[in-house]
Amino acid sequence: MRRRTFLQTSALAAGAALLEACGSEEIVYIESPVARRRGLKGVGIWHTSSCGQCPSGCGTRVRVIDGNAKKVEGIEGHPINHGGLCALGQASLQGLYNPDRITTPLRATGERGSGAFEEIGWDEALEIAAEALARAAATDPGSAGDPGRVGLLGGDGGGLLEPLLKLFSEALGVTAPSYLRSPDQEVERRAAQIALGTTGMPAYDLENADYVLSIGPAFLDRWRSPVYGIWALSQIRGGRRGRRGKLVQAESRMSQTAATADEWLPVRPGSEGVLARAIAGVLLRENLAAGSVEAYRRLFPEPAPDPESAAETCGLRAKQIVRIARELASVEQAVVLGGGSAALHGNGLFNTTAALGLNLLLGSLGRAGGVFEAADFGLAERLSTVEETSLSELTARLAGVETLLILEADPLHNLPGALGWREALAEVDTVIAMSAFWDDTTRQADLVLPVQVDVERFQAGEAPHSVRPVFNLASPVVAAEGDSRHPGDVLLALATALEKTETLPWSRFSDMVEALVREAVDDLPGGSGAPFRGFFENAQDQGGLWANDRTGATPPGPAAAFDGSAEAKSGGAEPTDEFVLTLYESAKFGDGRGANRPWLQELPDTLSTVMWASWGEIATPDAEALGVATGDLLEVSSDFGSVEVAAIVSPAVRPGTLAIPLGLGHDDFGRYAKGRGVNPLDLLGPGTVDGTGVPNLGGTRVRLKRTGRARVALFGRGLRDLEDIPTGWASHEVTPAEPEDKT
Amino acid sequence: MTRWGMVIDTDRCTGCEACVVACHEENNIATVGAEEAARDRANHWLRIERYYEGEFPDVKVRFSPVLCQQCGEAPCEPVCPVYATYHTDEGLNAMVYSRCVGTRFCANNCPYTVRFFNWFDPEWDAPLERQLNPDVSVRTAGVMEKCTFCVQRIQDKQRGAKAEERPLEDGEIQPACASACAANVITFGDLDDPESKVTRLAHSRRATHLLHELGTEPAVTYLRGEDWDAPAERPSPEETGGG
Repeated sequence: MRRRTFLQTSALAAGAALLEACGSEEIVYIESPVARRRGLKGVGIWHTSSCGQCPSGCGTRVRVIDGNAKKVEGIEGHPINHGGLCALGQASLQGLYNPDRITTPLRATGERGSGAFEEIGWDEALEIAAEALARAAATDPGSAGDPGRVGLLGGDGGGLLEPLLKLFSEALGVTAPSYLRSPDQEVERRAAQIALGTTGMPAYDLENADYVLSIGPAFLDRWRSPVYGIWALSQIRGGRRGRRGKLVQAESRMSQTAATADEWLPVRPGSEGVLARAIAGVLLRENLAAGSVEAYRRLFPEPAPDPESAAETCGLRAKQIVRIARELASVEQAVVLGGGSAALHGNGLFNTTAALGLNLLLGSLGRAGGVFEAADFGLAERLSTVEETSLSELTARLAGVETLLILEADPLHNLPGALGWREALAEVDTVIAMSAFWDDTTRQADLVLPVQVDVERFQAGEAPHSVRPVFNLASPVVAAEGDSRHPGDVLLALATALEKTETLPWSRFSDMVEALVREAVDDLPGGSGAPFRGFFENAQDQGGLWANDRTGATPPGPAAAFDGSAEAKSGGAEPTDEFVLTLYESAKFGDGRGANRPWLQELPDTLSTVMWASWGEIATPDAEALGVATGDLLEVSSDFGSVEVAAIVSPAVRPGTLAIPLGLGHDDFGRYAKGRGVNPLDLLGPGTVDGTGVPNLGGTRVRLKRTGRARVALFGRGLRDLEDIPTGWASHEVTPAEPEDKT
Repeated sequence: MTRWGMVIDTDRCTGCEACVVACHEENNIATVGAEEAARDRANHWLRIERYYEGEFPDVKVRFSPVLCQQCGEAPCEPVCPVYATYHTDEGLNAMVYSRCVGTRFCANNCPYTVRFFNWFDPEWDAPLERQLNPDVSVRTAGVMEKCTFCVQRIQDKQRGAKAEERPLEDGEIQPACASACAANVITFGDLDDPESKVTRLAHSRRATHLLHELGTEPAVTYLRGEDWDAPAERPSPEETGGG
């Protein structure tokens, strides 16, 4: 027998033995009221789930072997992520199996923030929490004009947990909860209300656009679902035979989106609105508007700036502005995105309104490749129609709060220190944190209630930014770590302990969702007339329910003129002795939630190649003037604080600016994140985006100083420093050219 | 015969690096920590190369995922004194970890710098090891490693097709990087099958190979980026000159 044949035969025999063994050993690794999961020992099974790493609602499938999750991938054909996932989503399992997860209820025993906690049982924990909430609610439940003594803060990824928390506030009779979301979202929502007349968030039909001008949003980096953005770009560039679209990115920083775009407009930070107005001016003057001039003039009655003066303000070229305007008008389906970094300046509301307003002139409202009202099945509204309290209102009254319940949010890390949360939190009598990780806020809590992460949970929530309604629904795919519980179940248990079962009659989150789906079944795809149990279980098996068609409403257009003089505040030339600071969420860390995963810490940032550290991107001429090279540590200081970052010198940075990613510089957040890098929010003052109350993250002036020290881990450094070695592109002659199938 | 190959469409790559994390997750690639990463000891079988072209403000950035090119004439193979790296019948440039004695000659001879040496035994802080993929062996100190085209996935699908007594379908095998990518940048398949998608794409007018002049005959083909279909509207020389 040949060696190969022998080996093949042996392998087959071993395989057969394995199959036989598998046949005899069935294991059940979840046996709970919400799910039963079983499999054959040693054999991988893919289960559907939903990604909980950000609020976008990507559908996932998880490979499970012997009860352990091994790999996460996207659900093919899911309307948000179309089979893909982002780096953060791929790394979710290092959240599930994070060595520093909190898996048992804890009570602080030492001074607040000292890190001294003792383990307690759930019964005791719920009793303490219920008692603290009841006491504060009884002291002063709040009434009109009086916010009371209870504070509720939710995170951004709650799905139907969001309306449940509102319902919880209703049941207790206390002030409605606030939610900690990416700050540009609130600006964008307001701007869309003003410019487009929408009530919720705008949604974009990007995959059908012929031309996308994005003024601010780095939608391929981390803005809404970057996975949807990436898929849509692939459609724009090759998914539609004979119709290649164009992407133009107007953003002061060279993001991954700007790098991928066909053209980057390195607009001066804070002048994005002027750029948008100047483009509108060209469309109006040259009679190129396919949409409603009347609606645009209702929004901006005053004349638009001419390209020459705008070019000076924006640090661009006048001819470039004119050309972009003509290009926009030359295609059938152009769309303009607004928000992102443009929304985070003092004049962010103007910048975003001006950008979104261009869609009026382009006729992009409610047509293929255009902008819509985000579509949903209205499930959240069926649960609760309570208006949330703005975060700035909660911040303002924090000193008077007696009991603060925080559900998966980390304000101490995600808000500028100048807003005073750290000091105010120290004055709150009882801080209850529901969290899976030792984030900076949980570290300061008096009571910690450990919650399950996405793949352990029963999940239900509608995708918030989609042109077609998408309801993600999934049961747990692995058993919960330790004694962690579903955050919804914890809220319901608290309601029971507080005798509020009239408003919250369910004992489990999954029961609540089931009751809700039963009530709404006729409005859900495939639900009408179907036997409910089978319909509900099938929906979980496929990861949820979604409509195939766009159902987002056409925005009605502006009701009144933009009321603000923010245009005057738009930037101006960069100062000569200071730098304009740009903060951004990097693709790997987001707002900081990815920092506790070693895969992401060691993932080389695509543009800088930095691993395990914070960095600051500085333009080559500025670095030369300062005598700074890549890797040199820079002291960055503002009027409010100072941090040290490694310099990354780049030809793709706007001179006079310095960009630092958010997401590092945690007080804690486990061994991989603790003390690593810096939190650039320490550099910010208490300023807000005009007209919104949202923290102003853009445009802070900073000074740079060399520290004389240098250290940073860059991947592939040796390779790239030697420019002459034969690396990179080389033309290659191949037999041309069969018809190319790019779908 | 089968000859596994890959096509990478750089036109669609946004540098999101989901593929890089997916590769770690699938292939049990250990992280080394900040200190060792600073000593160039981080392992990434797949990386995103970034190239700058031009000067501000007309600077352009291009991304390109780079992994083992599974060369037909692989420079790494003849220099291995113990035949730890060899060529399979299906065109894979394979590694036998248990044979490797860690001379690192292969890494030294690889023009694509895609081979990585394990300076340490890998470590996972408990319970991170529960995520490890049982289909992929964990490499110990002193052993080279690199991209395998997810050979465990290839074998799994081959076994499945054999058990069902049917041929493998084109596109049935998806390496972890390809399945992570929402933009379908990466296409994998049999280059010896003239009907396969990977073969069709490899004959595109946009096809190039990395360092093709070295004669390594890579099994990975790159498709260059394209321009927007409106040549008349491209920036004029006058405009880019500062007009």
